[in-house]
Amino acid sequence: MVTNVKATDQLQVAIIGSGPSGFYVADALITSGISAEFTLLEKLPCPFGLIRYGVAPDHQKLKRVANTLNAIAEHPSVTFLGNVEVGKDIQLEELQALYQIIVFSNGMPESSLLGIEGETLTGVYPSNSLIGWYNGHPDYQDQNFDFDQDTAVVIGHGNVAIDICRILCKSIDELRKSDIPESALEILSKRSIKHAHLIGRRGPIQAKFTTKELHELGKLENCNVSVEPKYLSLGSACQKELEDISNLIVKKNFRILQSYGNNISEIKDKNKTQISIDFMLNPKAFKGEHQLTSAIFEETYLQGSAFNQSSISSKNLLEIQCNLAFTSVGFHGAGFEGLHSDEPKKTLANKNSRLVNENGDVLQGIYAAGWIKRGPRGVIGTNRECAQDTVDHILQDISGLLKKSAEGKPALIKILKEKNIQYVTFDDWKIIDNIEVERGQALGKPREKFTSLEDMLGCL
Amino acid sequence: MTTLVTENCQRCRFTECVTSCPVSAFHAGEEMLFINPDDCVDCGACITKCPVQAIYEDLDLPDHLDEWIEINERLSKTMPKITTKETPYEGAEDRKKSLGF
Repeated sequence: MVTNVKATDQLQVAIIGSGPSGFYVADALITSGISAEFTLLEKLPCPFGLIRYGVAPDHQKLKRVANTLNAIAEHPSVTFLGNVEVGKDIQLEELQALYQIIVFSNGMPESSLLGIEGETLTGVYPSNSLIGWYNGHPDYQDQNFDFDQDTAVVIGHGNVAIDICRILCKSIDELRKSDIPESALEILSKRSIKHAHLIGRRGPIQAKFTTKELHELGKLENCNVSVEPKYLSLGSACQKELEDISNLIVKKNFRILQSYGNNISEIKDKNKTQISIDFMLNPKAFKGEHQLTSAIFEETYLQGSAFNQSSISSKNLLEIQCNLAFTSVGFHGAGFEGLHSDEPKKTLANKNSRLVNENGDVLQGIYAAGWIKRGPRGVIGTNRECAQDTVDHILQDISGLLKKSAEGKPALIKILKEKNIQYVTFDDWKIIDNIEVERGQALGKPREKFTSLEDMLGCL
Repeated sequence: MTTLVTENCQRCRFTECVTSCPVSAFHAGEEMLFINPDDCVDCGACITKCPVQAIYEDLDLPDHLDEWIEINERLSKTMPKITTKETPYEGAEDRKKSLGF
């Protein structure tokens, strides 16, 4: 047994969560030139967080961000330890005793709910259950989606909602080129969806799509994307928002939506899967005995000045017959025992990236980066900026942090061994990764993921 | 699909784009920046960061800027990578105003 674990002179940094934000924190600290060692702790055996499990499986180019994260992981000062859950396998207090700096970059795994009647009916699902399932996430495999339905509604007007809508409507031949696991492809091949509605509470100017995703939807084989012209005639406040020079993405998106307005004539074409982008509808209830049969919406109108408009529900109700509904109205944090979270998104309470308790007092040496710090917004690159901001604040505190000695990784590994935790190193992950890629090659796809912890750990 | 820097970038050096790039795809010439299309993953983070709206995706690139696709491809490969924000050039704010931003 190792008994003489020596304290090192280097700054010891533990990063909780190995998605992009965690890696970018390590990268920014390395680039700053300070002498530090990093331990990236990951609950799952595999790294890369939402790159692996959130980025859509048919967006392989975007998943290439993993190459950049891979290079950071290979830096001599970085150690990845997967299959280690902080709060369960190892306690925060134990980490605090071993590290000067702890950074939470563990993201927001929970889908926010609408909180309306019928949300627990069979056929109504939060976005993370579908996304986790078709991305092969081990926590979301135990589900029984029945896609043999005529009509689906997707509620939400952001990229996550578009991803869901696209996966629901894309042909199985197109999907086979993605890294959706074979088990999920098998079930998706039984889809009979003829009409998908992509529904938002506000108007086309307020939708949060990125241009690329909105454009891509219109390029799917054998699908017709349409927008009812009534949604494209703008009130004066919306017109003002559209014309504002800073509103670059909205202008581009509105041009695309106008082109989809021209497709409304093809909405009766039974040979194509119809995708309707509907606006100004506030979800009110899901109806059905046990299985969803329809969704009820209140029509809304916008009130307020440009950039300050909110949607107000009218008394007019609209019922859409549907047997599948996916709600994609944001994410929130899972909370962390002993740490204070802010409502409504359950971000870890922080001031300038420094965690604070319920009285607003800074918790020395504990920081946050990424979604868990700022909320579930932005694209992947936003997290690099966010990580840099966290590191800027860490660097301001550095002299105070260095007063404490820290044993870091060797002592942590000793504890994990004593606890019989089967931690997964980055070299171990590369074995799993290689096998997944090989399995994928045999099937003509980028990789065939392992979808259970047992199967991943069984490779080692 | 590709993302590229166009003429509005010249003589600015605001470089907000650089810190938002998750794959460090930007390269710096004397006058302006370029994106290496082999590295860029089209995440779009840089597009909204640019204060002079110099960055486009090819899917909505105005025709008169077409030549910049080839220029980015060629010059990004001869120029050094830029991964941290720099101080804007003198006169950058005036240029931004003259471009209407």
